[in-house]
Amino acid sequence: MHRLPEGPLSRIDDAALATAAKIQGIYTWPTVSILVSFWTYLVALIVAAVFSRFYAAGGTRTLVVMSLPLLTLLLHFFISYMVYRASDEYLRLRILKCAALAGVLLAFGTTAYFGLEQLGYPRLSIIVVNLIGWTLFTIMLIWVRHRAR
Amino acid sequence: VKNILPELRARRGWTQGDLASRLDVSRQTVNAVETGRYEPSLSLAFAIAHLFSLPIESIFEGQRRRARFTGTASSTDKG
Repeated sequence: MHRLPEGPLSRIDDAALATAAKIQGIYTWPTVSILVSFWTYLVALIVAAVFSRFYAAGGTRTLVVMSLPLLTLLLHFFISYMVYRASDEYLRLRILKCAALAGVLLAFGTTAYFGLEQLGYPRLSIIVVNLIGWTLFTIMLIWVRHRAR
Repeated sequence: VKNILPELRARRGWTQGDLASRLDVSRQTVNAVETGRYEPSLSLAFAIAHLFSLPIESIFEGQRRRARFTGTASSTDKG
């Protein structure tokens, strides 16, 4: 245990300090901003889906349903790009590999599911494909940045 | 590309983290360069050489490259 002067801080032990350091290590600005922007995108998708179902057809509905997911996806893309720009050359290479791997996995997955559709499986909405792709990329991006903290 | 970064680092008593902070890169990058999993860019190689006050070729030992598609020696091999 650290020898600190008498006071509230003197009661903090090494385990607590280690836990605090671990939490600080996880919640760095790149991981937090990626998580928040992706969460915002997911919320926008849900809001757009609910809005399109319960709001009367018209200009407002079209505007909300079209702009919310697109703007939040643009935000997520911009945050991912900022994280890429803030990374060093090796991490940039790894991030690009993540994007390529997510694209390849998505390509194989959609091709495989095309076969399953022909065998009677239900048709997938394009948003499911989109979500799987972004989720894969986001998880890999967070993993790369988390390992590099 | 082989290199003597671990030896140079050990001589100064630096950890990978120390070297990474001096080069303004992540510790992962230093580790990847040291283990040969990643070939550094020219700018990073120059930064490493400058940090250790050594010429690049004494830190990194390159292999002669061959043209990949033709199977013939590339222009860098000539002479």
